[in-house]
Amino acid sequence: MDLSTLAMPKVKDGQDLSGIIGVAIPIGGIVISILIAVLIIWPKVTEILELRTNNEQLRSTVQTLEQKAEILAGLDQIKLEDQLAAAEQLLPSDSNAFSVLRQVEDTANTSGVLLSKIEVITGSFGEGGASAGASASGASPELNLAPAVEIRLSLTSDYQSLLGFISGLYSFSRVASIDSLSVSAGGGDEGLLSTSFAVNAHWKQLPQNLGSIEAPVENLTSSEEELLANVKSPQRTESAPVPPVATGRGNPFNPY
Amino acid sequence: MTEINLVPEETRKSEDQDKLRSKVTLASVAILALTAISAIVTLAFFAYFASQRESLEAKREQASATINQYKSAEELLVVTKDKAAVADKLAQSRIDFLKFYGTLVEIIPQRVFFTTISIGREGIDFSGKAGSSADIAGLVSALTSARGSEIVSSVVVNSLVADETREYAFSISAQLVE
Repeated sequence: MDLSTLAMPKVKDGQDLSGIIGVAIPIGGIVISILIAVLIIWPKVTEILELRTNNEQLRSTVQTLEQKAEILAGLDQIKLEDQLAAAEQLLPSDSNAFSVLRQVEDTANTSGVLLSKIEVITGSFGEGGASAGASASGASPELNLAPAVEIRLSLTSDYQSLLGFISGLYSFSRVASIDSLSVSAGGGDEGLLSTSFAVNAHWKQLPQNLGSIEAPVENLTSSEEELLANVKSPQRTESAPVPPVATGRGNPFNPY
Repeated sequence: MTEINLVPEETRKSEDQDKLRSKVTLASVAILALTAISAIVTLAFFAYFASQRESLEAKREQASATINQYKSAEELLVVTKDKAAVADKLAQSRIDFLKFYGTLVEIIPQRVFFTTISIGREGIDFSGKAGSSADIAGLVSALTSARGSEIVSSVVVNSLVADETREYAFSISAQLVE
């Protein structure tokens, strides 16, 4: 048997070729799979992760918006307008120092105290001035919440009149606080007291903008509603308008 | 002999190649299947999250429209809340002098009077006179009692001086309880 005469190389070549093709196809499949994984699946997975994060943020935004819409839908416009008017009395939008002065004078008259000195701290007048007044006496924590017209008072009175005066100041429809109260006995038998303290009548500018639509809104708390409702109570003294005065003089240097 | 073994060797080689091919094919099929499953799952997730986003966007649009509808009410609420919240804090943080004096006059001994009472955020200073050492003791005891603790704390007697009549001049400092 002469095997060398058989066409073995041809058979071997064909086998090699079919073997190579037979292996190349699955390898090609693997390469394609890897390409699909790298070029399509992996970017999509990254996109999905981003989408999931964005959806979480969007969900919380939607929750905030829905909550806000629910609060707004439940509001009573007329009641709100009344409450805004009351809030404006509690904290006016400008310092309105002369109105406070007038109220202090009126309260002193009705309670029977004798005001020996009234000093309005510089900076309490005008729109921007009150903040200067507030920072000048910035020790009081109330002034960090809202600027105030600061009026320093010295007065003489008996004990009951003093209490009546303090009670009157706290009955202002506008929020007023008293700081550094010093009471000294006059020393005589009349029981007169010399008192000095500072009255801070607060004010607050209107907010300049509403903020974004996503900015949450809060309902009024029960104590805030009660405070607003009390502004109209008869025990409260509403801010007094400054009365008009006669005008026109022949000689501006003549004493009045 | 070498020539006689040629066919079985070729056959063996061919069998090895077949085995290798079948292994590679199997691996390829497995990887392809895995890739296909991954692709389907990925696309399914993507479609799910994309539809979720669409739904959330629609909800946001709806809520925004509702909010815009109540714009004037929102303005009123924001301004009112802004002022009322600050006013409430101010009202709650101010010193209640009427309660302070109301409590003080109830608890102090009868033979004690004050010449000066200064009240500030930093503290209270009392100066005054007491008829006897028992009266000053009664005053300190009153200020540190449960009732006194409602208005003052950290009571310290700074000075106590008696004259020939045994009338005591005192100076006491304390912290205001708010």
